[in-house]
Amino acid sequence: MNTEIKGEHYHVWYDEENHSIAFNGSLRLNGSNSYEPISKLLKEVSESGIDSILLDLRELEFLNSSGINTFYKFVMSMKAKPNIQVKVLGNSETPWQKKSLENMKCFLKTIELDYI
Amino acid sequence: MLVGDFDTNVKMDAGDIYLKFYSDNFTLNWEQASKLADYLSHYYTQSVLSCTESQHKEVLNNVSYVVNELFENSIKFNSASDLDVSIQINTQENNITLITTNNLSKEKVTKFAAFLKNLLAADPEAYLVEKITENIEKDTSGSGLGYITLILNYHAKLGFKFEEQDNGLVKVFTMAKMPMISDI
Repeated sequence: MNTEIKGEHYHVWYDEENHSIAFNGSLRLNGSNSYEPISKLLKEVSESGIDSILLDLRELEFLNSSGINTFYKFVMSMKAKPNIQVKVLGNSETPWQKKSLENMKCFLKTIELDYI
Repeated sequence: MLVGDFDTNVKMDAGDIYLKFYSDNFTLNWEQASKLADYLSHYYTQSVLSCTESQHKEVLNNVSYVVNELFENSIKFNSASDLDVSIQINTQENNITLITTNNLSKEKVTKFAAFLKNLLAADPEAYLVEKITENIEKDTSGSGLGYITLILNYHAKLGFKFEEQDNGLVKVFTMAKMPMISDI
């Protein structure tokens, strides 16, 4: 599993110890195909035998709708893996997060959503 | 033809911006679209007076998001081999009105108008759940979430105008009207 993805404006990495995938920077990639490496990482982590997964979005400053789609699809797909607790850690001072993360509860009622 | 909340009375005012991208072999790349969105959002934070640091951040995000989404669509769905898209921004008090234009073939307009009627008539949350389910099942290349996230997360009113051109294409005007700061 490739545990790190870097682009000009963003950095994504998997912390195996905490089962957390952290996102840093700004993600405005062109379409679902461009988000494929991130989708792949999320899927591989969820299939690695863990019982919880944390999406650490505290340092993700900006996300376009294709990126929101990537996260929403992942969260919805976790309905089929009820043995894994999905947690999301956001930043209440980052405007896109206040607006967009709450919708995740529509896709996965058991999701834990926290903000710093 | 008008679809949704298209305000035909929007007038240019002092400080408003109109940008036209001329064609002639010019290719706008993806990075440039987001750089443009960022520049315009910084420009507009100056027009919102007396805002707190948190509101300042919100204006930056909101303007950047709506410009980025609508402009991305203009580039992605432009049928003309030349670019020929434009952006017009008007602000009034706390609200921003953004109009982008691009060109579509008549066949694509029929499909697009049907998509819009479905979107604008639906319950936003139910539509979002349905769209994500569809995106998982069909593994689509585009997310189709630009407009619904603007409606649901940014309280935007969307409107569309279609004008037939002499070259056989249809000029599409996409309008988004939304508050720059949600809490005021």
